[in-house]
Amino acid sequence: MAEIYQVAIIGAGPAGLSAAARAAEQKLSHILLEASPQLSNTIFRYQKGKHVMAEPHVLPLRSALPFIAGAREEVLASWEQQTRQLAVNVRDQAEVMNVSGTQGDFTISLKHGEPIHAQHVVLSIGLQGNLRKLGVSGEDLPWVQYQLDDPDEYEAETIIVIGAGDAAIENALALAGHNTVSIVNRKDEFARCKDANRESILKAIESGSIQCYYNATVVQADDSPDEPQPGLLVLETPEGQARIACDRIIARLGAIPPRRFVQACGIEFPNDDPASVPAVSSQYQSNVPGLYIIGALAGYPLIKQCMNQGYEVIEYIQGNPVAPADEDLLKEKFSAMPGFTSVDDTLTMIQQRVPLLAGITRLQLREFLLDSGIHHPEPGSVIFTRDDYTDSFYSILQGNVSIPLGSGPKAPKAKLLQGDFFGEMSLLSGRRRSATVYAGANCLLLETPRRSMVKLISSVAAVKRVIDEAFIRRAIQSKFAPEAPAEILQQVAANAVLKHYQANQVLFAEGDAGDTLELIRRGSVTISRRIDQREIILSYVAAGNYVGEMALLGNTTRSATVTATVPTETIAIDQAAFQLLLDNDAKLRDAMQTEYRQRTLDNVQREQESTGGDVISFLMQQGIGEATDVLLIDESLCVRCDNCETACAETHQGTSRLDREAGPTFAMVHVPTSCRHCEHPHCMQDCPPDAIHRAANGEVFIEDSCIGCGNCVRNCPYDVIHMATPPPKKPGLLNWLLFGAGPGPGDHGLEAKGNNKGVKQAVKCDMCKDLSGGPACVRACPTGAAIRIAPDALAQYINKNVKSTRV
Amino acid sequence: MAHESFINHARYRYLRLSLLLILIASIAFIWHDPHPRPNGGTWLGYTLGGVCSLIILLLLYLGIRKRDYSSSMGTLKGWVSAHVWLGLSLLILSTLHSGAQLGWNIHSAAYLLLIVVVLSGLWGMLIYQRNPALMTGNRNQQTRLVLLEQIIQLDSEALQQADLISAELHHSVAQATRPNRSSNLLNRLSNRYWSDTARADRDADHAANVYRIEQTIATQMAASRSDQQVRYYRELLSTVSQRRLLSQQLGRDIQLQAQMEWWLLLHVPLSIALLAALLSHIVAVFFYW
Ligand SMILES: Cc1cc2nc3c(=O)[nH]c(=O)nc-3n(C[C@H](O)[C@H](O)[C@H](O)COP(=O)(O)OP(=O)(O)OC[C@H]3O[C@@H](n4cnc5c(N)ncnc54)[C@H](O)[C@@H]3O)c2cc1C
Ligand code: HEM
Ligand code: SF4
Ligand code: SF4
Repeated sequence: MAEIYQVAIIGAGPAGLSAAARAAEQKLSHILLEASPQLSNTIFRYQKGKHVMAEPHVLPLRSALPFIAGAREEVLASWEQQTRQLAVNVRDQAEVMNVSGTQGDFTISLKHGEPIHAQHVVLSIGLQGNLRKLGVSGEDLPWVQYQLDDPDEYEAETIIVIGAGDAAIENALALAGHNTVSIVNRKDEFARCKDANRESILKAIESGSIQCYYNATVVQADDSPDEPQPGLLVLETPEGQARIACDRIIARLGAIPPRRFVQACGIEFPNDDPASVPAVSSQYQSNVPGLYIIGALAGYPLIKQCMNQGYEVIEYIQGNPVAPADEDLLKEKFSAMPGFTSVDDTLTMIQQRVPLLAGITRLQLREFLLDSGIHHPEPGSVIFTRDDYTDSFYSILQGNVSIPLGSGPKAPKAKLLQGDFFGEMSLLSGRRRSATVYAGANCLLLETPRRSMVKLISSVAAVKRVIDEAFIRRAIQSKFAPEAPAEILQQVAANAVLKHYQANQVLFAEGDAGDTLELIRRGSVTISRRIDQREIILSYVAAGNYVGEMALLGNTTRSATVTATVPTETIAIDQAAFQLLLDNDAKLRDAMQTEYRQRTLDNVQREQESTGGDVISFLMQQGIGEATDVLLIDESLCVRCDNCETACAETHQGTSRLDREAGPTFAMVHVPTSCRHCEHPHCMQDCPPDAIHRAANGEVFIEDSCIGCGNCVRNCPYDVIHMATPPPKKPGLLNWLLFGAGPGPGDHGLEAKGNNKGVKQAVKCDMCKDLSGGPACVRACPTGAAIRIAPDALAQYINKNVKSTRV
Repeated sequence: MAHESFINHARYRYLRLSLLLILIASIAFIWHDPHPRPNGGTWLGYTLGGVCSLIILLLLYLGIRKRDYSSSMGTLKGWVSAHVWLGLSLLILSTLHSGAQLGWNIHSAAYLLLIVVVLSGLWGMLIYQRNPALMTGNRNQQTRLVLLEQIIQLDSEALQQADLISAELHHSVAQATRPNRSSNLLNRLSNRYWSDTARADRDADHAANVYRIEQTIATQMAASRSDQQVRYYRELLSTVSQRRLLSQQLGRDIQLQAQMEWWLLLHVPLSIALLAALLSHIVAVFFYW
């Protein structure tokens, strides 16, 4: 029988490589299996010369491999050298198809070759997944490729790009400058891409610079020896079979997420949420004993974390209970706590005191605490203020906090005690803080940033459930019944249902019968009615407000249609449950009737001016439905001086974060390409160092810890993030005037002389949060054309503006 | 709050201030009644002169404030609002200051220069009011870059289509569309001030040239006997006339923008000259009177 290795490591990324290096150092019998022809494929595929950053810098490195920040080439070379020196047993081009068996006797089947046997398996395949291939004969021919690292490498070739997503479009456009490019789309339109990409590709197709085969499927790829070009692609098109000679095929068909593979190995995920990661023990062991998971796959997206885990997992497999690399960091964090003894005791104490955290694994808890801060606020001090935009989450380790419900000194106060939590409202809704929170006596708080909390919620179902329940109860309380007794609230909340809607999904339609009110907790909706055969949008309702209230006041036919503008969640309360609240508080009915009356009056007004509705729907298409603050330009005032852009560049290291001219215009309202400061910023998803945050006034900004991976650029649907190199320092005004030193005022620094070498980072609008006067673009506009506006004020904005600016 | 322009900024705060200044100055002027006749040398004259000078300095300061992008001293819109309204009040304040005495001297020169600067400013203000909406209308949802790209594209299509007809026609189409523009067309977008007018003219020229080609094509088409040829001519004609419309649209776009930029080339140097004249005027008054 073949050799049984002590440990087999699957995936030679920083995590797997570090594990294998440690195993080699410890003289364990081991094998490192890597699907691609080189080590660390993910990093190998970074852009040439990319500066690899070693975040988080407070975390010490513990690995048999070196790692210091530097160019991609240097990092890879140092790993390669050390791997050779330690005589790590690597097998490349060994894609693993499945892992079966149990501890002591795992069988690893490979795509090519004999299966491999091992006592322990470490899974470190990262999150990139395997690239989807064509799935037809010829898919592996040398001129068929599935990636494109540098479009400038190719010139004067006939290239066929296959795919209709962002990657395919961006590649096709980049190649079209120097090559003859066609693109093959399986469908009859480009539906799965960003708007900007769709616009560009359609333009390129229309102008003939790229040829498009719509509704075309690939039949096969063949070598064609007699043609001058090496390849021949056979397509099935609506017009029949097409045979196209080409130099190269670039198929960008996306990647198959590793999840299915992982599940097939017997590993469980907590739920269907694609963001969830498999639960592992504090020793990285999955639910399958002997099968360990480390690195990005386990939810640790940074190289240094991956490498540390690689080292630790080998120690654990050998039965060495090493303290994790973060032990000292946690110790430092906890030592300020009264009565601190050891990290372990503190972890136990926290899980005992905070029920929400009781069910999570030690590893999750450590990670959670590493990201969190511990506060010991003075009694009576403010923890956060109503209407702030902060989004962190607090757990009470000791003492209590009080929260006034409503304004004025006589407003009733809610008290939260040890073990409770707060701050979930803003976290989930993406909106401003709904109340101010004051510290009580002897209070000890744990503050957790948004990302760690979102990660925990999506990986641990119990946490999600508890938080959702609290959210519903508290939302009902603060919106409708600050003074209602707890039993009534509990009853109403128990009957309430959480509903999820896709963008453009209808919550309910005009004329429907209905007896529920929906309190919007996330996203936003538009209200519309059919007038003269046309659906006219009458208003926009943001999260934190409710719709459908008339159903509860006796009128059970919906008077208008309510549609989600973006993915939206509501809390639906039916009449029977709501009756409890109405019975409890005589004034509630009046208050709701008053609000309803006002809404009706506004709507009637809007019905008279139909362009208002068109402007709302135009703005919704531009993503204003999820914005917290957006730059709008009145084109009847804009003198195109671009002073706004200059001001932005001048106050932001030479790169303007807004593109005044780009972006659509309707009824003289122009939406330039500029950040919307979304309620749930798409850019924050998958930022490995968690560098994107929201400041108290709502500004979404990128911190210096950005590692330049470009994920946010891809994730932002509005194309407002760029990668930029900080420009040289500007000389003083006189120095520039008299001696011509450096770039002068208004010179945009990107192309300016003497760029820093290659350390590109993501830059975007930060609403000038560090300038005392507020956004420079708006303050530099000489005519008042540029304004910033929050969607709450949108209705008012449209009422004021649209009458005078009809098209 | 939305899109309040520099005209009605803060509910016409600076218009109101200017009117107040004018009102006070006028009452003082009528009540003052000096002998033999009002001029800059009386106490009211000095006061008005001082006020005017201060206003002029404030107006000049706009040039500096405009470039101080991180300044938190008000918004630029507020400054421009104060600039236009206080600037216009100078027409009356300075006239009152001078007592409407003109002659061939540095004092009158300063006065006249002031009037010219103010009028040029007024012209700019009117252009700022008029052009933006015209520009949006003319653009018709396109960016300038897209217009340019479309023109380049149509040009190459036209050449291919002309090829099908005759080498001669190819040549004339090339002549009409190529001169003074090449593939670096896009680069020119960057340098604004000087090339813009030139370009606007050129685009107008172009449109005219292209129009002539259209005539030629139509004439040849009428004379053609072959159905095939006629179809080629018709296709070419449609391409070329689309091309002309785009040219005109682009020319108009550039012209409208240039109008919004140029007047400043008059306004600013004149205002610097005014500063010089003003200083000479003051020196002359205090040292040589
Ligand atoms: C553009 C970009 C820039 C980044 N920049 C930085 C940075 O500057 N600093 C930083 O700390 N982090 C950075 N990151 C994040 C970092 O790359 C990842 O966190 C890290 O690579 C994850 O390591 P890993 O070992 O878990 O997985 P990976 O590095 O993804 O490695 C997984 C390996 O497994 C192999 N594999 C997959 N499936 C199989 C299979 N079935 N059989 C065999 N082998 C398989 C893959 O080929 C690959 O080599 C960046 C990410 C990107 C995308
Ligand atoms: C003594 C009178 C005036 C002086 C000295 C003066 C001076 C200036 C200066 C120095 C600038 C800065 C230009 C730049 O740096 O780009 C400017 C801009 C301007 N001025 Fe005047 N000005 C005067 C009167 C007026 C009047 C009366 C008006 C209008 C009625 C006016 C309208 C403007 C406008 C609209 C701008 C452009 C603002 C911009 O686009 O940034 N000016 N002026
Ligand atoms: S960068 Fe994009 S995704 Fe992020 S907040 Fe701004 S608009 Fe939204
Ligand atoms: S600063 Fe104002 S007027 Fe100038 S381009 Fe920007 S929005 Fe238009």
